[in-house]
Amino acid sequence: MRGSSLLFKQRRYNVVELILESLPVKSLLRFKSVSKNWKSTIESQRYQERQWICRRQSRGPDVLRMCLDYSSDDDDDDYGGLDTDAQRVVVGPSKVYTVRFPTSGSRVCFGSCDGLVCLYTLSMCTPSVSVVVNPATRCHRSFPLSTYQQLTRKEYTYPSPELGFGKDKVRGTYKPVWLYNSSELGLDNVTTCEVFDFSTNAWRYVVPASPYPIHPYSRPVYLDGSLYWLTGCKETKVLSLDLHTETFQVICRTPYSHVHYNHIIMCILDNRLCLSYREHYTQEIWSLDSSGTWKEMCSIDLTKTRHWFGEWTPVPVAILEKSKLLLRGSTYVQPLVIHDLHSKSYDLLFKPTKHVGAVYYFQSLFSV
Amino acid sequence: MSKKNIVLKSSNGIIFEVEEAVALQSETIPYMIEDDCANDTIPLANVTGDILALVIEYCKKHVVVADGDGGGSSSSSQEDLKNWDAQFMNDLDQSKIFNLLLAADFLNIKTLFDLTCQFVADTMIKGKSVEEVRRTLNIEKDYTSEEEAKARQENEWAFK
Repeated sequence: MRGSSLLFKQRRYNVVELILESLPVKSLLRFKSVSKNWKSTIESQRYQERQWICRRQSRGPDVLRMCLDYSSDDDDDDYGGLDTDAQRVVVGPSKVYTVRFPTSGSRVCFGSCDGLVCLYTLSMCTPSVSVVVNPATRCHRSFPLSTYQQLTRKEYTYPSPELGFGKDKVRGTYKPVWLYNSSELGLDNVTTCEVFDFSTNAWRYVVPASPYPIHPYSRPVYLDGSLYWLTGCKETKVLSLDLHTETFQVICRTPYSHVHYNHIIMCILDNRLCLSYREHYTQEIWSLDSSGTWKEMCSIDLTKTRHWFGEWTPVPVAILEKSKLLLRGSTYVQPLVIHDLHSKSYDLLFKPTKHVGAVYYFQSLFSV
Repeated sequence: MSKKNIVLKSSNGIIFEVEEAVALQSETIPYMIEDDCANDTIPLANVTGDILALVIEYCKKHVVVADGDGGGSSSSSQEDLKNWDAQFMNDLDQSKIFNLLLAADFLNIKTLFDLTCQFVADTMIKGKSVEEVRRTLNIEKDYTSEEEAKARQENEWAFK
């Protein structure tokens, strides 16, 4: 045992960190009880960053299926959080978890940021909710409604914009962001942008907001310090908001000059900004490479997915096992289908009976 | 160019002569060669003979694959190497594993260090209770009973 006691004495670096970094978050929470040293290691920012990098490098994303509430009288209020014994399906090295949170919205922001997911309500849903959850640690923090959410409680417009959620990578702060066309609310300027500041616990306006109107069905996606929307100009372009400087910028065109509004979807696949566009029964997916050019990634034959999605355009969720594209339905009940990019096959993974949102996700120890 | 050999000496005086390529998987040894160029033997005061033998066995196995670009598909040799690593670790008792981890750390052999860390995590920590982890790793409990109860309570669900 001489070795083991030496091992945990002062070393050039913390060996505990290295040994613990590959463990799942649930084990780490339990092992905070081993000793004060282990607790302070696991709670340190440095270790949490390290765990995050290790998790990102080890394998592809997991997928979270979250039960979403449309009304407060939804049945079974058993606790969710990331119960690893809950209903779970494995796709290669990726796990697909089904969870239910004690506080859940009717909508979920696209994807996840640092292992955090953001849920919210819009319109007359009761009760109103805005919450950021770390499903792995079960930490969650609610925040107040934005002006926009309060307005839509009185008057709901469709299509309505959706909430964006991301991180200012310079300051390390998380930011929920609303961007909407002011005309919808009868205001004069082109767009209005509200950002939530967790340090002051208040919403504030970003001025100037985007000088271009946004695409009415545009769903913001987060990647690497910026949120992205599609513009609602004659020619659809990609608009970015740098979450540190809080400035808007059009970064590029899309591969299509004229698009039918509700057939274009932005998403994040393999850590790249992607666009999917549907024409008739073909849905093409393009990814933006580091040089700023769009490359076609794959195309989906919608005659083969009609059985599950009907006439609706499926939304890409993640790429699992390097070549398996996970698609979800875009209606209230969202089946999950796997499209194998090599064999071109389509397989049903889940057929839910309730309202469930699916996002890609990596476990972390972070909290807001 | 002829192959150069390097002589390593363990803390208990056992001498090992290995090919340079084998020894240079350690990022510490090159510095020792520079520092001590007058002497052909490199003394390793922190590593005992039995552990140094294991380190050398590991490095010899890994150097062949790193150099051998001909013969056999690379994926199968990667697979073989993985199996070999697993077997190599499985044959060791706990005290050897810890000492090997320390030696890999001291000699700065990244792949061996990662391998032992992962093995310790998988076999001695993952899925174990707090008490088992303390016992296995010989960690002193520095919590008072109240503090421990509090730490446990904060993450009660993770114990289920």
